[in-house]
Amino acid sequence: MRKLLVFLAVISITAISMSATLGVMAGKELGGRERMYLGVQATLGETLGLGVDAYYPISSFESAAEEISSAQILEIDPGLFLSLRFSDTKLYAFVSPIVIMNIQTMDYQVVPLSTLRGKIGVRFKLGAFSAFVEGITAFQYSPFATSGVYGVQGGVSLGF
Amino acid sequence: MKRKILLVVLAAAVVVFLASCSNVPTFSGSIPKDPKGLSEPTSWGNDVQMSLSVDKTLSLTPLALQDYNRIKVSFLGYTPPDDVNEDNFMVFEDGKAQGFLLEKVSKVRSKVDIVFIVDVTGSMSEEIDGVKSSIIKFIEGLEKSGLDAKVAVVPYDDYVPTKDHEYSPPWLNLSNPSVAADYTGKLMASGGGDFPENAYGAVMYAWKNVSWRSDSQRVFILLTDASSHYKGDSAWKYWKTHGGTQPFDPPYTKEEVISSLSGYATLYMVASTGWYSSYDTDFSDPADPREIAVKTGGFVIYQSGSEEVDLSKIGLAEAISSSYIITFESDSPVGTHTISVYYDGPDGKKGHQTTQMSY
Repeated sequence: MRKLLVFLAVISITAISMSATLGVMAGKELGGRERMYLGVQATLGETLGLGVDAYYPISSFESAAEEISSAQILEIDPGLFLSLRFSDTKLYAFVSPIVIMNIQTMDYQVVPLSTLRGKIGVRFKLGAFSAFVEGITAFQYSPFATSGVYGVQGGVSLGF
Repeated sequence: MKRKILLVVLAAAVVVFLASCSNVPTFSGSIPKDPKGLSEPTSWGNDVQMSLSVDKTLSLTPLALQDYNRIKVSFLGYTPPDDVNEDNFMVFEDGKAQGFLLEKVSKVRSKVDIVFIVDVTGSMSEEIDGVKSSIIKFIEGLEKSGLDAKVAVVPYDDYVPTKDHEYSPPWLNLSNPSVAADYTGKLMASGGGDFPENAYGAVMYAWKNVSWRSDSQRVFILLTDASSHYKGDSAWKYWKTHGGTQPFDPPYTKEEVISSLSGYATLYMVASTGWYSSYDTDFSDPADPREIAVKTGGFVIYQSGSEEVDLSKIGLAEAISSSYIITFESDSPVGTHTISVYYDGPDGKKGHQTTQMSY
């Protein structure tokens, strides 16, 4: 718990001194359990930076508010991104470990680091806001193989 | 340049943070494919007793990974040889053979957090000395076992913690066993009002307030001679007609307690005989906590009068060293499934267990 608080404090302090975005998103798995999910994401940095995504699967968008209010366990993916800017459009890739966290008890578990979250996306700048579309999967790098299950998600973010 | 240095430092912080989590239970992404041509045996040896329960410790499948399930297999009164591996088990979901991974629980979860939920009302006055002595001996045994154990104590009556006694602190959060033994020695039994006490409330109070360690096995030991109040019973009416000054409205049903604990914790119960009888087989009464023990993988020990109960019968050390986690992928729809596990040990001992599980 203390380590987590220190980690979050470092992230917060850094956010003040670096460009940052904060966004919300919704998505769906294409395969596997075919779950719908909601999420939030934060990034720090421009070309190379840090990002954190948090996901919570829901059974339907109609019941999302009720399910979110009772959410206890989230997937949290803290990782690194690399981006390329083309005018108002940004292409990026994101890699992270996968952490499952109980936000009430602060228990957490890490999926072995041989399995990572991979994500690619495109972001369009719309004034202070950006809209983004992303594809995600999980993969192993040695030997390289994806899980065979993919997700597609989209959302909006606010730049600071 | 400063920003890049900062990013590198932050990335290093992330790596250090995650590396520090290396002893927590994890999912391996390399579950073998389901075996083909393997059918469920029609007859099998029954040399060893096994129990199965869903393990929900990691209860959210990460996105974009195949679905998987975790089942905890415990052997009762039997410790499998050290060289047990996947070849010694067969796992079937709805009759279909599953590829799976096997992990020894003691390798991924060696810590144990134990919470004693102790009824300290007047009806326990005959039993309380035996209860205290049993707990203290059990704790001394824990210290000798070498287990990494922490112990909490929650005294209760209709209120949690009890309001008929003033203990300091009112309840003991997870502490070293010797501290818990000292605290237990100070417990007294008196008061209580009506016959049922708030066992469900006490279990849920502990579940929500104990500082559980993230990588521990979680165990409740409930000691009582009374049934439990439950949401919707006549507790409030009793207090009104008997001039109670503090409103009491039981907040939980038994089903809510089972739902909260099942897959995350095991409850054992020491039931003093009287209202409880060792001949009972139907625990479905809404006030009967014994069903919680059965449905969380624990069991019931009966205590008579002032006798000391041998809590070592719970066999915590043995349960930890003889429990395994089976992880398998499932492509079945959400619902209730029949899970069968067959064991054929290197020592020739056989056992099997079948249960219904919802996931």
